[in-house]
Amino acid sequence: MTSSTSFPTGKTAIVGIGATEFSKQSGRSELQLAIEATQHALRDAGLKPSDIDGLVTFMSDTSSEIDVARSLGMQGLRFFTRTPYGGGGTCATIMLASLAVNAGLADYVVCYRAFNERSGNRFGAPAVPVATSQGINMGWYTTFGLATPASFIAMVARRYMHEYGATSEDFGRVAVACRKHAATNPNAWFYEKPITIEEHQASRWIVDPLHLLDCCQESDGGVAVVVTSAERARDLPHRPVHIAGAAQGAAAGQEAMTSYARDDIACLPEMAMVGRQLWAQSGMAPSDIDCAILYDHFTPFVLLQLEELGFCARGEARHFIAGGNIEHGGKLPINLHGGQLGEAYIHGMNGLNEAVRQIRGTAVNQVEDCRNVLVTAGTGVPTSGVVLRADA
Amino acid sequence: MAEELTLNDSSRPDSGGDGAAPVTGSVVVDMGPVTAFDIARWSAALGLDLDPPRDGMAVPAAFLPALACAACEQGGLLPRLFGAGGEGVAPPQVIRIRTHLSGEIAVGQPVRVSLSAGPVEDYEESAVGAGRAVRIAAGISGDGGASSSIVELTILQRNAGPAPTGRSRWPQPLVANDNRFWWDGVDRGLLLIQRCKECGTLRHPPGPSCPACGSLSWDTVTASGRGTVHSFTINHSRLGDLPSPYVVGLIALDEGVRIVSNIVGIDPADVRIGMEVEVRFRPANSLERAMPLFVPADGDGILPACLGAETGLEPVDIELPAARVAGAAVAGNNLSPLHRDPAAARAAGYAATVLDLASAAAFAHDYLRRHDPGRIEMFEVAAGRPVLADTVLTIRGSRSGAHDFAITASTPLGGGFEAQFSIRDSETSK
Repeated sequence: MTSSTSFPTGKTAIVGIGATEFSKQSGRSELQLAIEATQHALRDAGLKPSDIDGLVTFMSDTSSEIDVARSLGMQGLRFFTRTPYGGGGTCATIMLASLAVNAGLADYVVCYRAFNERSGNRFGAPAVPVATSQGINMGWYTTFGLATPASFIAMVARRYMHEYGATSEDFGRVAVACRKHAATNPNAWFYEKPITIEEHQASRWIVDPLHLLDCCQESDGGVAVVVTSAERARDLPHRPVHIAGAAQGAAAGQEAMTSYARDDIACLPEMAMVGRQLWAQSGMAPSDIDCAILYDHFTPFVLLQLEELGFCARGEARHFIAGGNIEHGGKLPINLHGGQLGEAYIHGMNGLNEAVRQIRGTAVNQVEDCRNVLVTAGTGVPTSGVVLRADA
Repeated sequence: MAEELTLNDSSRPDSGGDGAAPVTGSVVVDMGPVTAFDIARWSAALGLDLDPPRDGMAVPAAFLPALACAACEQGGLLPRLFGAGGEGVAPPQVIRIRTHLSGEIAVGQPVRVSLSAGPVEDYEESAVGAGRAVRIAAGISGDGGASSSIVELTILQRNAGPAPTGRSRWPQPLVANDNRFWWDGVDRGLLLIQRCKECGTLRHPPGPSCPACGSLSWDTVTASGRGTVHSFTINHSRLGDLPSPYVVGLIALDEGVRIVSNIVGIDPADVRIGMEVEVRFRPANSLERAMPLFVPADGDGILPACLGAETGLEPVDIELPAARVAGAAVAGNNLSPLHRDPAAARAAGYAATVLDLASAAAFAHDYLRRHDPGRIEMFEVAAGRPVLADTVLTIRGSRSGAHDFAITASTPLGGGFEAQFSIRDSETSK
């Protein structure tokens, strides 16, 4: 279904990254977290607030663009917009920023996400339907006690296990890899706290077939990223991290995490859409990727993403990830910062920071000569992805 | 009229007594005869479907709760138990009635009521509110007191403040234009599937237009209710009346669409993909809509008792103008201002006057008699959120066992009550 794409490959770049500490109780407002993260990103980029003329965040973010801009003394915004579907919008923020910069609608765009997801409004709480088309749709599930993200995904995971023979241990290997990476990342919540597959298996059920350790943690924190043109990037302190591709996907029969009416539910066709666009835009193939940041809110969907993005065939992910292939030093290391299972759950934005560090060569679990990184956004929902690269 | 009154008050909270018996009381009240006029006036005020009363026939069972309430009033028991009331508390109200029938009392015959009250105890938050409550057993006997029926009343002195908003135990769907037909179908015990009128394609979840051809015109087909489990989850949290963990299934109906619903009546560990299941309907209650649930097709096909039976009776609607609410209470000798004085009801936190529970019991009784005239052994009525005046009360019932009926009543504002009846010589259980 994906056809021509005229994404401005290589013409824009990420030039600054920033984050607050990751905690379970930040003790300050979500707006302050957004501001602090943005300040860190601006310092990293060697820019002043007055340089920024564009802001992008998530529709679910509680800190409005104008409050962030006013608080930081920005001198006016030319471009401000938001991405829908929670964590599915992570990489779409970069897509929008990149398109705006390339079109001349803005010069420097900050993408931010900040929340007290652990100490404040927790997304794992049962959803309460609201009077929107999506809320009405959600009622087909919440009424029967299928009301949390874990439960929505468990339904797909069970079918995937049934069709392809994947086991809970296969899901557990994703958690073990991410916790292994977090264990050597001082910024990770689970720094120096690796887990074993036995601990994964022994952890309590949340929604069978998902154990506690199949579910990412909940965190307080903020993350920001600065996007500008490749040309301006050359004058800034860090090695530019070029945006080779960025795409969104909502596939046929899409619902927000409950696309159960599709003939095949043991798949993520929206991620396949994103993958096809990214490969076309960047001119790359899965074999060109040095490491990946795969959205890991729940372990089973990491396996499904590997298949949909073309790293392995349908149903083969359990073999692909075996033998440490997704761990540091493996064939395709993923989530070297520890992911959301290990570092923090900031709707995937902390993964974008990690991708930038890998290409700059400044990551704690650095892949040698890392040039191309794939980053994905939340899955099950309409989603997005980016490919970042060292070369323009 | 109080022939005898004792009250053990040695351990009032302020007496500092440690381990002593809490406040209890007993009183015997001679009520005089229940006349045909009393019954006729009461029946007319409630709009009940009763044979014209005359001396010698049995006092209707549904009148007994009102008689017990009247005896409490005449015996002066409540002020002794709860104190004078006033600021901080609402007037006492009956929140539960349990009636065991034994023998009969003839119209025109003097009635004696022996009341004995348990201790007044803290009553935790529920659909009716929180405060202090007492249980009173009323033994009601006719001439000579040979055999007596027992009416057990739970009376709550609710803490003042807005009436409880009530909370359903099951998450409730948001019902709007695009899904109302489906939930209306569930209310009628039907599992409907939306069908495109142009191309005939079935779709679920429903929506305004056909994904296959774009047509906005649709009708429905009634599903057979049979299907197979396409996937399922075992949820280790709480849902409504279900034991934890509970199962949510993705069920492929035989007609071709899929539906998410609970799979009940089976150990979660035994649920399998591909298993055949059949729909059952959990009846509505005062806070929750009726719901379709699925049971294994090769099981006994019965919903677990906690979910109610699937054999629904035809619902009835009862108009409740304020005058009827007041008239029903007064005709039942209940003079609490909550039922007849809007200002007093507002002061207690209610938006309007409130239907008294003895009258509610009579409505439930009347509803049941239309479906099964067998002899009632026991009935129990429990208040939910308040049934306010100037609304419509919808009463639904279902058979919950060979000799048992479950009745629920609800108003559009979320008020209601629940009742259970046990019947001997049930028509349909013969």
